[in-house]
Amino acid sequence: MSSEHFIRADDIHLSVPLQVGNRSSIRSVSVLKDLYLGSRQRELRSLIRGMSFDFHEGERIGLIGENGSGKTTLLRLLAGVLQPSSGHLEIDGTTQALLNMSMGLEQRATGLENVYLLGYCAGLTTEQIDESIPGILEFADLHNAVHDPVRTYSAGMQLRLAFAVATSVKPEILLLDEWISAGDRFFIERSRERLMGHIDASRMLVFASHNASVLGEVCTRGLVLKRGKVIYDGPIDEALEFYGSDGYQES
Amino acid sequence: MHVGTLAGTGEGAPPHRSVRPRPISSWELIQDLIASFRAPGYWTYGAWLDISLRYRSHVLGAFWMIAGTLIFVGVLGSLYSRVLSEGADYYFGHIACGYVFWILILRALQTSSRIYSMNRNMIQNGYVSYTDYVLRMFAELAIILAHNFIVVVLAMVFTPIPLTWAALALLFTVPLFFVTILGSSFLVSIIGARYSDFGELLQSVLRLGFFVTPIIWSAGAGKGALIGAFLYLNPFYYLIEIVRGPLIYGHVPWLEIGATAVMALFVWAVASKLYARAKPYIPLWI
Repeated sequence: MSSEHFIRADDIHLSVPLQVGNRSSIRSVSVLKDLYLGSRQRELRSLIRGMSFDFHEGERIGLIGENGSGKTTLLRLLAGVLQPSSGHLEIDGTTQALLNMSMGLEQRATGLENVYLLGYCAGLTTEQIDESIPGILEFADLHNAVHDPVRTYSAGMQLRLAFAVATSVKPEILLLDEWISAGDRFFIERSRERLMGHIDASRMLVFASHNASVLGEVCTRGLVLKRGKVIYDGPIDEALEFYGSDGYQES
Repeated sequence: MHVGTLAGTGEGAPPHRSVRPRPISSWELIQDLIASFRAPGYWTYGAWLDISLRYRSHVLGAFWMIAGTLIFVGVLGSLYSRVLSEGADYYFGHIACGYVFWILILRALQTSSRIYSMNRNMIQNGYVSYTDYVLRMFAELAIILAHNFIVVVLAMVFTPIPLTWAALALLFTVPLFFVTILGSSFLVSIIGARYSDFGELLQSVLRLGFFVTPIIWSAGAGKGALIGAFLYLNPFYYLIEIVRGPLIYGHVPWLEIGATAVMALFVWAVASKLYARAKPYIPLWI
């Protein structure tokens, strides 16, 4: 096994079949037809249209782009949820992903039970989870609420809990979707430390966000995406500048 | 390597993966199952958690797991043992055993048909060990079965029904029962992920299945015998009979065991084929 972890994409494409709603007026007879026969229109939609890049160990990559530009889809490809329809994607390193809001939290279970559940998901053994619990509770600041059901937690507490478990695994590649920057200021401060802590150990981060200031602080490299393509790849400052410029609108 | 453990490629999992359109092996399902059994943390803990959460807020807690079965068997047993005069001695054992194992079949197939959409959030977040979701559900049902089995024991003690040497066959038939249902669950989970209609169809079939399978009636006693050869067209009959025959009636139903074994092979073969084919598309379907 090489010591250098990487992600290498060579002209990856992804098309997915989508069930599309009926375009006819909601007043027409077809509404009734849809009820009994289902609306069976399926369309092949191209979400990623030829992306190539090389990510290296120690890089913190920011994915920049408007809604629908393919950020989340790309993260799902990197997380192994989706597979490219064509092209070649090679990933060397263990991955951890925090891609959607629910983060796999079991709302009715207690915080501690969720630590075990998420820990097992992340591939930890019981002993490893036991060891990491103090650190997780410390970071998530949950000491008083650890035996309360997660549904009683605030959104910020839930976020901290899931984030703390995912990062306690010390994955070689951490994938974060944009909602994470929705956390409170306090969380962002703490998580930045934790993210940077990972970087010291030469780990890789791929982070999708709308928040230019967070991206600018955390990331080293920026990929600007538009309609499933990489239209700019360079140092984060330049990428953010490009995203804000007319060049993005025109490309 | 396989892509099954990608989500949390924790310690020990091969970290390198090459994701390109690849030749699909029919062994994918078996490989994923082996991976699930090597790292059973998620699905065993998850199953326990599901049970614990369901009964946590109840005063009588886990007693409710068997309460429903106890009432069903007690009430229907008292009524029907009079209606079906023949074989009334065995009736409580008959209905208890049939019902308890039917519950597992019913819930396993019903839940499987929407198991991946129920876990959509986890899957979209990268936890793509699909076998784990089915095993989590299955382990939960096995725990419920173990509790419900108390009702069968009660029926056998109080009726009373003697345990015979034929019960030794259970060492073979109970695992066969589980293997067949697990295979069927995988099969149903994939079809259900692709065609959401399938869950509706299955529900109708299962509702009918309860009545056409000798659970509250008996194929050998009274007018039940009139159903004759039609019984042999019902797959649920074989599944129930291989357990109930040796346990309650003290005979080893070789024909039914053979038929179930063939069914198990068929179900696993088709499930493996479909699973390998469907696996990359599951996140897109749900």
